Amino acid sequence: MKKYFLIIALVLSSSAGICRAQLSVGSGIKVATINDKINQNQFVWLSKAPLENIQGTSEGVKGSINIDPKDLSRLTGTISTDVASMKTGNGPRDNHLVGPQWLDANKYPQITFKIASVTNLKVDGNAATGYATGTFTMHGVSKTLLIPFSLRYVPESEKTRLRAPGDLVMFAADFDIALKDFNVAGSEGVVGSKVGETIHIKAQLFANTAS
Amino acid sequence: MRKRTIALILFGFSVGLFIWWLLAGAHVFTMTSRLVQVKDDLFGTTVDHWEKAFIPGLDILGPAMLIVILGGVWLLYRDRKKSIVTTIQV
Repeated sequence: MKKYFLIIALVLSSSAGICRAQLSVGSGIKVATINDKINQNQFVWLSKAPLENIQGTSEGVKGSINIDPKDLSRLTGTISTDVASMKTGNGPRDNHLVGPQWLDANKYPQITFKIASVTNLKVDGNAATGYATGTFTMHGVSKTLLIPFSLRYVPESEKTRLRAPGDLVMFAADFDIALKDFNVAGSEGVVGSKVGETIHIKAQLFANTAS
Repeated sequence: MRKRTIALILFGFSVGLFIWWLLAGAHVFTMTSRLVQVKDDLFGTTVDHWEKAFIPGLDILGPAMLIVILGGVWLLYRDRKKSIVTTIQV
């Protein structure tokens, strides 16, 4: 009987090892720091409203991700972006956007996302997809969001060293936020007509493991 | 050139401005840059970058179209007034 328990325990422990979401490259926990030398780090957002669609970006992205290529479920990190860096391709509109009626960059200078855990990981070679659960803070309001993401891990090579030292990691995410959830009311009557009630955000983040 | 002909050219020009506005994306506000997608071969993805561009919006083309149309209407009015005066004189 004892022997059977031992076999079952062995099978369970080995299957747990197989189920662990592992990339085909890299090992050990690493701190990947957001780095604009690799490529432009930014959040691209889209507001769809009956009168106009507005596309913009938020740059000035900073932060780091703790990543273990051999166990992606341990992924955590914090990413932030400067509200004042928002661009829409029109100067006066940019000023309105970061002004007190909208995102109020003076009072709330950063938008942050703190990743607490990742789930539903699917790995394919050096790429993976999954869902990141974390706290999204904007305009002084924090909400827990579940964000689908994908990542690609590129080990250090001659080619990667041309951009930055260390292994390179790219994160991409697509998600929606409702302005009312973050108490962003804007000018009266504008949300819903000229600015969408929901904003679609696409994150494009590039990090390297060497500081 | 007759006033009527100039008025027609102005109306045609205003239609041209309207078509330009539509083709440029029918923006309310004029944009001085636009997002373009650039391929990143290292990561096998595309990344958005800002590129300088002039995309006219209704804030500029709207008043421009209005001025052109009003100019055309004024020329037609002057032409009609002149022809009425000429008819009376005859």
